[in-house]
Amino acid sequence: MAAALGLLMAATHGFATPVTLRYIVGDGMETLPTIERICREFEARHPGIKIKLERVSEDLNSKVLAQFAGNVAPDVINVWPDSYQMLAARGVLMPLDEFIARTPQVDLNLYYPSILSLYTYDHHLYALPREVAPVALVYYNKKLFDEAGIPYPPDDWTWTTEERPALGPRDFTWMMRSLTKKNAAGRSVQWGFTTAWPQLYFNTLMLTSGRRLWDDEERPTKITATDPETLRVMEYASDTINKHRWVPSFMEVTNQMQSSMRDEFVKGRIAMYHSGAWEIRKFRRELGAQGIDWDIALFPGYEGQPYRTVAGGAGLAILSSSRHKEAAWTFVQYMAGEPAMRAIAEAGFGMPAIRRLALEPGLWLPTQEQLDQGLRPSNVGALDAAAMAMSMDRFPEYFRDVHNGLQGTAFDILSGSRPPREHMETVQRDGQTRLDLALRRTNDPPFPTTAAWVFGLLIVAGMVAWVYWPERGIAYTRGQKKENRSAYLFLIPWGFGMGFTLGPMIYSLLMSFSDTDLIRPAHWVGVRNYSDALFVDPGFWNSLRVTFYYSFLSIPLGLMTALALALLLNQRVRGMPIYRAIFYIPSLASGVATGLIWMRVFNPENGLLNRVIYGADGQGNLLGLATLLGHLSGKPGEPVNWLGNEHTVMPAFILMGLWGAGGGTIILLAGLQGISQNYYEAATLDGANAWRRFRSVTLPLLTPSLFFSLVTGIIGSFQVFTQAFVMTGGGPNSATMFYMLNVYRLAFQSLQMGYASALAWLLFVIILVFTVIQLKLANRWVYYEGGLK
Amino acid sequence: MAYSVARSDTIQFARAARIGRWYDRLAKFGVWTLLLAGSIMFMLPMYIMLCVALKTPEQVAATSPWEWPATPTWENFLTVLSDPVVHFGRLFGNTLFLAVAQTFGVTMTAAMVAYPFARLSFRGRDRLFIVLLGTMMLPGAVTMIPGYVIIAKLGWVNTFLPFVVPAFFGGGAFNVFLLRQFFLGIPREMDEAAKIDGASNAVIFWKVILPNAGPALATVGVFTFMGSWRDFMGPLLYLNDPEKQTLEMGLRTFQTMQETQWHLLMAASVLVSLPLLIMFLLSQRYFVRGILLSGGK
Repeated sequence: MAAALGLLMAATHGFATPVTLRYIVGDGMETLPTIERICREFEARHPGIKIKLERVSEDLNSKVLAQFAGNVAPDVINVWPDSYQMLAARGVLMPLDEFIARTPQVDLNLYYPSILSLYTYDHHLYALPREVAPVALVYYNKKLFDEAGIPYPPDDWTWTTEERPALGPRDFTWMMRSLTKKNAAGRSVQWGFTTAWPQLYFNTLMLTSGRRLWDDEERPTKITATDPETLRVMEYASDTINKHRWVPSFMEVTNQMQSSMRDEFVKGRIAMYHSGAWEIRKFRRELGAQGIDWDIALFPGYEGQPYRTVAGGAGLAILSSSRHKEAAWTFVQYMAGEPAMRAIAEAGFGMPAIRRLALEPGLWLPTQEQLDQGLRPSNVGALDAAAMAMSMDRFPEYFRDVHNGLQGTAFDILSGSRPPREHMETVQRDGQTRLDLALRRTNDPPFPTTAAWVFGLLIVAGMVAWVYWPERGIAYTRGQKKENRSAYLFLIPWGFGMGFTLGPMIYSLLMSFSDTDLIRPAHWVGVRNYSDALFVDPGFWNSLRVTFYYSFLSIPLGLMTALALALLLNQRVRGMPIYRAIFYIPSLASGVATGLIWMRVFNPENGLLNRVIYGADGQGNLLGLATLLGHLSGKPGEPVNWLGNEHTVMPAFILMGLWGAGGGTIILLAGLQGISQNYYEAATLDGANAWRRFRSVTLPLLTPSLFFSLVTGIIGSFQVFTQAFVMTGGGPNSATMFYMLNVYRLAFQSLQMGYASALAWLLFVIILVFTVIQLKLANRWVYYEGGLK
Repeated sequence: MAYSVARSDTIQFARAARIGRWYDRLAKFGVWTLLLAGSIMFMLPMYIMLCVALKTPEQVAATSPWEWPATPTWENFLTVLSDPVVHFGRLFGNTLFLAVAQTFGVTMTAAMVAYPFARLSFRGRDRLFIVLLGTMMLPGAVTMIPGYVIIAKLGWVNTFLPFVVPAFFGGGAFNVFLLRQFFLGIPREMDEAAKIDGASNAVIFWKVILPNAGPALATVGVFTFMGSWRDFMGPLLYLNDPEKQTLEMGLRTFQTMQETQWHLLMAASVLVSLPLLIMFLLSQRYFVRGILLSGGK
């Protein structure tokens, strides 16, 4: 009886407090409604569990890491085979083995073995796969093949870094060349091949040819970017784009043609398009509408290498911090189970990770009847084969940042701005430097927390002593004591504020001597973060160079513009308040909106700026600017791609900064209005002309305001963040990796909190030095009426 | 003799005045031309934003960037406002709440802290003031990371607390400094008179200092409001929940979702920028006077 009652209570208790699970996805917008619907269906079947679906637009993994460090991590997240390891290695995800062992309904044998192996890290399964998305399909336009009189891609085609004409259509390189059409001027009017995004081309060639940029899977110690074999693949990749022009340049397509590779394929300008299965749904509609017949083939393997395809496909993982792990497991089973897979496959968004469903005609694959009616793709075997061959290069976690850096710089080879060998030598050098740094970090002593606390308290005690020691002997009268008390009452908020400033300051100072990601225990590294920044890390010097480049041009230009505007706005003309507002408004526009507007202005194809410079026909040359910009961008004759070219992106940012000069104007205007008219009258009586009055009266008396603008301008230019984050993300080729952006990226995307803290302190020192220099120089040129204030 | 000299002087003076007027007119015309040209240049990006926001995607593709749409469409705004993922209405409420709370907290407590530094003598005052000025130079980067750690340890991530609470902690060294300079300019006789009447420091602060510091308070207030409205990194760090984000973050989310849909992006940009514009126009008179009076020195 009592037991039954207890059971009943437990049961009602279970239902009385519905569990809410936070589920974070990085899915595209299109799939979101389907995912949302599946969540609601799940809720209907499990009344005790509510699902709160959240979508992250920035990098999901780093966001979740930061949330985990802040104890606000979700319960369930979507992971990908190429990046979940960074979560698993830090203990953010929980292994699912135990759950699976006691849940007979979940039969792992049903899933594609390739995806399970990809989600196995350190012998534990960390995610239940929801779909498989091998990126190994070559979509081809049959019409273009027919026109060229070339047979469609055979299943047994291969590639090597040399063209093999004897093999004909069984050689991928031959196919690429044969399907490229050039006009009399040698420009390609039809391309042989392309990939959906540039990294994919690079990754696929590396993976299929069995090359990688490091020596060992278990413990990489050497970067091998300049191995002859690797170099040959690199040269091949670069040559197909830049020399032979069989593959369109990605820059050209995305920036000049304002298009994407897939659009160009749909328009029939590219014969073969390499992407994943998610394109099928749209191609059926878009190509079908134009009456273009198409099909798919597997991307060719490299001759003599085992066949591998680039892996993809979301899986569901549970966070180790979740307080509702059982409920989360129930949800994961559902979301990565048959009903959800069916719903997603039916909507055409993803190929089921359960092989039986992936092969079921009429679900993801077309039925025979549909195939007979001409529904594409007909080469359905390619989908399954691609999923079976999914594979990936593995590496330990300490290598991840090095790996990301390698990927980021190596694929730039496709831009063809430098000879491949030279480019790979840079990649080799930078990569090896980063790897050496990472290797050293793997054996550091633990951080001495107690000693650090004591040290921190000593700093505080030292500051307190510095403030009060000189006044220690002074006796106070009763009135003074009262005043003292009331003053400190007023200062109470600031006391808290100092706690909130001083505490973090000391904290970050201590952190700068450590290696910490806030999740794993911190390690003591001494001054190595500082010495690495100064002597080893090219990223620090680059961000400093970028910031100085910006400061040295934008501050003087901005000051001159602001001064000119201030003089103009100080005139007596009707409607002046309106003009002042007009010039001031841009400096207070929202940062993100400003970024977006200027992206529009800098748009190379139909942006305002290029319209002005090149005219509507793209052939103009306003004031010779086109010629000048051609030299600057290194690509004469082409409209300048402001934000996409590493040489013009900074001038673009400076121009954008000038737009906000109104903020400085208002300060200078204030200074101008503070100058007494008497000086001008006296100067006029002495026969001074307008220029002379400006030189000898206005400028000297304005120097305090100019000085103020200069100091705040320098401090401000070191804090540029939002626009770079929104518009370029630091690119191209790190040309806009401003100091703050670099610090943010290191701290919250790579989670190198210790190193980022060291950089923050270096910034403090730099600003301090500049301010002191300013103050010293100020004595020479700043004139204070009535002496120094 | 004397008469004729005076007469010729008058004639010359009149002539000079005539030429002067002519010069004046020419100068006025020049100034006016420059102002107009500058205004157009400064407003062009704004104009582009509005233009694109009022066009359909087909019009965006087919027409030149500065062509005003023949038939402006308001639909983009409705699409943006009814977006199923980014709830702009909700974000507007969040942003407004944070901006108002921060403005109130910063203005209030910065004035409180500035008052003793300007008027009272107390133990350690001069060195404490140096400490205050020292914190002004501290770049945000230094406190950003440990700030995140502390906020996380307090369990304040995903709440408005990391924005509201610190706003009541003295409002930042720059504002304190600005207000202190302004308070120094208020005649001391006014305090003395109140003191003789038996007013306490709190009363003097409330009844004498604050009412006379209107423009400076407005300056601090407007700067804080704008800063809060435009804050990007704060919400980026602390607010994950889509329900709690601000307009700037919403716009960013929108950008990553709608990469190529410029008509929607620009419509959203207009919506995010408009309140700032209205705020500025409303406060312009007071605000500009505040800057002029505090002199930016």
